[in-house]
Amino acid sequence: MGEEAVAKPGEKGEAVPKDVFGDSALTVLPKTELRSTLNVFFVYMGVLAVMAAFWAGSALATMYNVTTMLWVTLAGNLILGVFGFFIATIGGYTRVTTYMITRQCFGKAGSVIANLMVSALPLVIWFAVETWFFGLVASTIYPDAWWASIAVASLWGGILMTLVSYFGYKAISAISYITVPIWFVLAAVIFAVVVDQSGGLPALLAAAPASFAPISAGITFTVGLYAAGCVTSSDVGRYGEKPWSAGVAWAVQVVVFMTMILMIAGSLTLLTGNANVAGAMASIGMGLGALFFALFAQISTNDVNLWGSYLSWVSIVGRGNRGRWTLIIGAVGTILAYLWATAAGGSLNMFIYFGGLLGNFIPPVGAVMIADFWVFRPYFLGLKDRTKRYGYGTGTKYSMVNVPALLAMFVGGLAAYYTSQVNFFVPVLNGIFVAFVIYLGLVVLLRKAGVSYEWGTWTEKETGF
Amino acid sequence: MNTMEEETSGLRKDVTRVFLLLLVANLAAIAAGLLGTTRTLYLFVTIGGVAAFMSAVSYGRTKGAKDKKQLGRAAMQGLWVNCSMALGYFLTAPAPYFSSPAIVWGVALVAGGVAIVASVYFLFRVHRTTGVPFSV
Repeated sequence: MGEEAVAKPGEKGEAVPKDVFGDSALTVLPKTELRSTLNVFFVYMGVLAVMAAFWAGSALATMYNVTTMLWVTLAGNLILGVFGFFIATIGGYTRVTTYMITRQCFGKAGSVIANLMVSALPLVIWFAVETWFFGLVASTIYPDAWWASIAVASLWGGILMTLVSYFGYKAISAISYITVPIWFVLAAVIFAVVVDQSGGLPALLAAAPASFAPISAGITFTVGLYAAGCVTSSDVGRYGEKPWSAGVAWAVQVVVFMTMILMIAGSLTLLTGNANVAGAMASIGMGLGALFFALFAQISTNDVNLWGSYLSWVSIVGRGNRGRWTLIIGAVGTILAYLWATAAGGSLNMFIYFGGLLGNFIPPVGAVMIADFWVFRPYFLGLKDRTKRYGYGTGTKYSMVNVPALLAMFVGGLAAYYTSQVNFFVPVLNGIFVAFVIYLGLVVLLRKAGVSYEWGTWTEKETGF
Repeated sequence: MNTMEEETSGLRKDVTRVFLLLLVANLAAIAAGLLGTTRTLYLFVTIGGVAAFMSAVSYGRTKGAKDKKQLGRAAMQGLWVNCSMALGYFLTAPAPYFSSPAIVWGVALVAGGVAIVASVYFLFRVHRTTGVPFSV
């Protein structure tokens, strides 16, 4: 029977494994490590505070005027808010990483595949992209300084970002506490400065692109921007002191602050033709301020990229620890950024294309997680207690592969990719919907028919691997 | 009263005083902004306003804290945000765009400097006395 390998209350391991991989990568987070809702909120906000968000937001200005842009970003971010709320809250109830959650719904080997797509590979790529981005911004602020050339700034920027991740979640959240408040205030100040210099609010309200794109295109774009962060939100969410802390923190930061950043970027682009906030700061005489603004942004985001990638790799491989993995991934990402800056200078199209392609398969993983935790386990397996829907610990048995989960992920990803090619509805939502329906449909039907839908068994070792 | 309780009670008294000091420093910066250009005033109202609001809220939270943990946590959060906003004065106030006399942005830098020094000192003291982690 398929449900034999599903961990249930009472099947939980007897002994609690030791945290040998750091930051409870493969174990349940102890109570002593829980953090306040504000802490989790600031870490999420730190990820949001990134220079690339301005470039992404400026793309919306080529599609809409400012009022349409507001509705489009709000709609997209509401979708992200609701989707992320349910995923982050799984972390709040289970107190484990995204990898460990997927181990329950995808199986041991299935979770490796899911995590390679969700975080292990994409986050290394995004670490390299953001590091390169820092180099680009530094070279814009100080075009004549050798230390601020794209390649050289990528190198020292990457090293700084790696150092923060090396010290783990504690360092990440401390950095977020100091960088996030001032970053968002500075963003608002620069927005006001540029509006002031470009004809004020009447000019902003009158500005519009030559033609408008369909509303669904903008919503897809907005959701796609943060889909990966949404699916891995449990990595941070498990730290929230209350099970719902991270869900609420996630929803607020996405709906309110991501909308704010995209609107600022879009407005600046409508008024000036680009959203180079650091450039705008440098032009009014805030050279050093602009550099710190960019550095704060990239550090508070890239440390989480690197940390999330380490959590995935250490869980997949079952060897090493936080220090080793962050140094390895940080070195790879930094060298990639350096080499790319040396070879291609200002273009990262290849990375972005690859990241975008993987992005089709990321939201379906989240859809399977939600379907399994919030629907299948309580309503079909009778596991009403949210804290006991997933069991962990030495000796816990998992399936090797949950076939409906993997199938749902691939078909959902293909549906998202295909519908993006033929411009049908909102591709990301299509992928989520297809994965959700396929997983639930298959798993419920097979269970009722008495057909096994899980293959193999894996027993958790003392280390949590 | 044992030594630990004395320490906590002493900390509560000092931390509430520091939040009052930070509130006054930020209000002074805003007041200095009144003497400068409109742009400077808006800038100082934004930075100082957030910091002053956080100081006032933290004052109430630390004063009303029921135990050591609550006290440490409220203090830490208030101090981090104040420290962050204080950096804002240094990064923005002297910029030529705001075109204010040195005496005006100088007041903001002094307020920011006081906030950074006081925040850093108390972050360590609160951590040591209450055991609350920096990344609370």
